[in-house]
Amino acid sequence: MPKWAYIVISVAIILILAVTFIVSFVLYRKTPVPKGCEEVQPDPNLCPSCSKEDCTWFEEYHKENSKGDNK
Amino acid sequence: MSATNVVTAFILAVFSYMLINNVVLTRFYGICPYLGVSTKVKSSVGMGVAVVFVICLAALVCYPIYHFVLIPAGLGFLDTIVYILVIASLVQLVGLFIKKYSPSLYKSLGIYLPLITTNCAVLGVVQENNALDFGMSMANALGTSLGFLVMIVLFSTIRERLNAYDAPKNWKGLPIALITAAIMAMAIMGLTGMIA
Amino acid sequence: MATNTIARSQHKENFLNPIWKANPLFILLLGTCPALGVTTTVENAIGMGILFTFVLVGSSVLVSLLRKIIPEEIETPAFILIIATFVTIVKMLSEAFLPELYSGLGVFISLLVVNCIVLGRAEAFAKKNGVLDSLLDALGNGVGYLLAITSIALIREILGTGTITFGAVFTFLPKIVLPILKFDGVDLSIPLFAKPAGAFIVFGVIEAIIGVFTLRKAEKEAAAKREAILAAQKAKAAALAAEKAKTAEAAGKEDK
Repeated sequence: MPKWAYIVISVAIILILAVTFIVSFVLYRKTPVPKGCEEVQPDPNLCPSCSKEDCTWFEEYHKENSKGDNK
Repeated sequence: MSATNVVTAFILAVFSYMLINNVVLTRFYGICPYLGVSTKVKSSVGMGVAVVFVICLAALVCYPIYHFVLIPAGLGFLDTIVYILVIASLVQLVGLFIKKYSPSLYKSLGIYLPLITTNCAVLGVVQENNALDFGMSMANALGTSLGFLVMIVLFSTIRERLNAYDAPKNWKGLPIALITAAIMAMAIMGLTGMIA
Repeated sequence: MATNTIARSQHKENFLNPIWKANPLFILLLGTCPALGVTTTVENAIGMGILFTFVLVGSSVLVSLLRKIIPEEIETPAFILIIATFVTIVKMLSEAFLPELYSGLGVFISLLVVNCIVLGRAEAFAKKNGVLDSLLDALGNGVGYLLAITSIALIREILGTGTITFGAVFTFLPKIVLPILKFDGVDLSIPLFAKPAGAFIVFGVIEAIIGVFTLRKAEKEAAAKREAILAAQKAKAAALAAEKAKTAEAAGKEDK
């Protein structure tokens, strides 16, 4: 195979995967939470110990927490 | 090799990956959730089951991608970037599916699924499978994920008790949990060499 | 001039804070997997720290450069892609130039992709701040992490093998073996510390020692808060009493 073929194939593979990821990511975000699960909340004992900023609950929890501190 | 031999070899390999080469205590993958999500038994079970699910699925998907796409195309060096994209999309798709069709599963696993993309255990297992054949890589995925489930549940039961125990103030919480993990690792160490 | 000094102190803070006060490993407890996995020898730990710093600086700078271009909905996928690219670069470079380090670290180089610190810095800092600030923050975090894992590795290697070896991984250095707990037929090393259990013990003891200081600090802060509350209450009571006296006086005057 010529050199450019490798480059084209690798870029194609990564692009396909990236597009799949982005589409699934956006779809996941857009799908509404099923009925009866709206009240699923992070465990308050758990969240302070965990500082993963990519967690879905991170912002929500830490926003509430900082509000509590301000009081 | 006869069929029974293959089955015994598979089962032995699963046990070896589950206990002797335990994912958390000897290979050190997935320490973050092991320490972070183990304060309550309920949440640790949710996390463990979600990890089992995603690791098995990811190993099943990534094996053909590596051996039938990347290697024939001479692009073996792209493995990490391809794997992380595959795992991340898998996690999102599984989450989407659960969100849409199974509210009860979403209730118990929904919070933990997004955390799994950044769990070292998934990527570590898939990366290790590069050097293994199909049977062994499935054994690795199954054994590793079951090992994670068993260890995180055992650890969370101990931690629930530890909360009631009157430890010195500066040892409370994480330090004493780490020492507990060390003792568990010593117990696992005692099994070394049981399965060749 | 004044703004300049403020900006400079801010830069300094960005760099120094993650090294000591907000150390990513010891204080924030992020990136624990490689910290326990590769700390059997000091050289492996230093190598890991350097590769980690490279990935962190590269991805932070790129994220900060692209922060206005990346749409908000697909931030996380874009960050993961950027980080994975840098990890692949680091992997290939280390395989080519330091094969001993590559085989010593094994899967942990690939696991840099899912390292909580790298993604966390991109999400929490680089996407909101300028290039220079992101660079300094990433450098600070990298150096802080490097120092943290090197200190764990130092304890583990000395206790576990009794010696410190240089030149086994970085082959361009002359090979030196420093005997510390091992001399003239006396061997005081404890092999447990080279094993996985030792990693947990060392990390746990370090966390407990840090716990002493954080507790002391928290106690001081609590005492200061209590005093402030007490003082506020006293002031309030005094004001109330004064008010009461006033009204009483007024009432007395009216009575007269």
